[in-house]
Amino acid sequence: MEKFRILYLISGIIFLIISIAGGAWWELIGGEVSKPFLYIGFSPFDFKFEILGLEFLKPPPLIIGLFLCERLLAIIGSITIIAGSLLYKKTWSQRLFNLRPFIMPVLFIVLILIGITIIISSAQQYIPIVAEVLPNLNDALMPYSSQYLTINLYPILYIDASLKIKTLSQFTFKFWMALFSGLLCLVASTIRRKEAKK
Amino acid sequence: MNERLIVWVPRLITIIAIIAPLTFYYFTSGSLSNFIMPVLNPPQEFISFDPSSIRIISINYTTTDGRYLLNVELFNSGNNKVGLNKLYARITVPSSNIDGKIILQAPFILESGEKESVHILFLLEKGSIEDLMIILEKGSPVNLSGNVTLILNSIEIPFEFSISNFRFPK
Repeated sequence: MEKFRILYLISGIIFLIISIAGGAWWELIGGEVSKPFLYIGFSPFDFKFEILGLEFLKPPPLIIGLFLCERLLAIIGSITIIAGSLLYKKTWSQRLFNLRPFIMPVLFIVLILIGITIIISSAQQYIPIVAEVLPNLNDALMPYSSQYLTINLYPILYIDASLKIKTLSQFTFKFWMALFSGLLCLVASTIRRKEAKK
Repeated sequence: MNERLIVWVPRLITIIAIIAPLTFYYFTSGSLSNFIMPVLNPPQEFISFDPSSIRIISINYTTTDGRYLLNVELFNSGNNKVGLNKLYARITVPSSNIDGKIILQAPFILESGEKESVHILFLLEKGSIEDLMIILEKGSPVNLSGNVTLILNSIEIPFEFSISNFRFPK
């Protein structure tokens, strides 16, 4: 088996496991990590927004359907990569390779950064109370940025008070594994193209 | 195997994988608004929690080794179980030049409709304890800042806080 097929195979298996497992790729934890009172988890396959361990926001069926689409596409993409790398004797096997394990995590990072910078900034601009109550929402949501979410109580309770809640915004192990799988896939694709040119 | 078939079968499966879930969720959601609108379920604890439902019934103090132990009797008139796990704060009364630290001695939980005595260590750095007691009894404004872990029913919420012109509820 060629070197690039081994890389594709490893990449496909890792991405298949990640796709089947589901769960969050990015998460925001408010309070103690072991017992958070606020939890937001997001991935191409799932969204969770919990307060006090109870679901605060249930995504609409449209979004649940899109998550299922994404998951099916990831599973199909992984299976075709695995099949392409195992069926090395078939001339058409290379037609099964794709870059889905690389594209998904990269698009996910872009989506997270755009979501935080543009959408939250727009919300703060057009709904001023959001900016007044949560002045550092952007920083708190940005991965590995601020460790506190400040809540200014004056606009809602008319008490001259503010609360600072410990937050943790991070990409999860599943995300890093997906990105690793994507990079393997990209390397495999580069090697394959180079070998094809020879 | 036909190469064209090998290429087209995954493409066809991909198209089905996009259309089928959306079609399924659209028809099971009942209407277009149900299909696109998220559902909000705010926790009842937050909606029904009123901080002013915790009232101070009485405050007295004892002195030991130059430290003051405040004995605060609290009453919970709300519907939620409320308590504190940790409290470490600085209290200042600018008008009376009082400055000190307060530290909760032991965690407590107040059930709905329950009274309890809470012990708080008060380390006075400026001013006199008598002046502070008068201020607390009058309900005069004080500044508070520090760390607290609030217990609300079954959950604990740790946070830093800073309150200006706070009046203790009486």
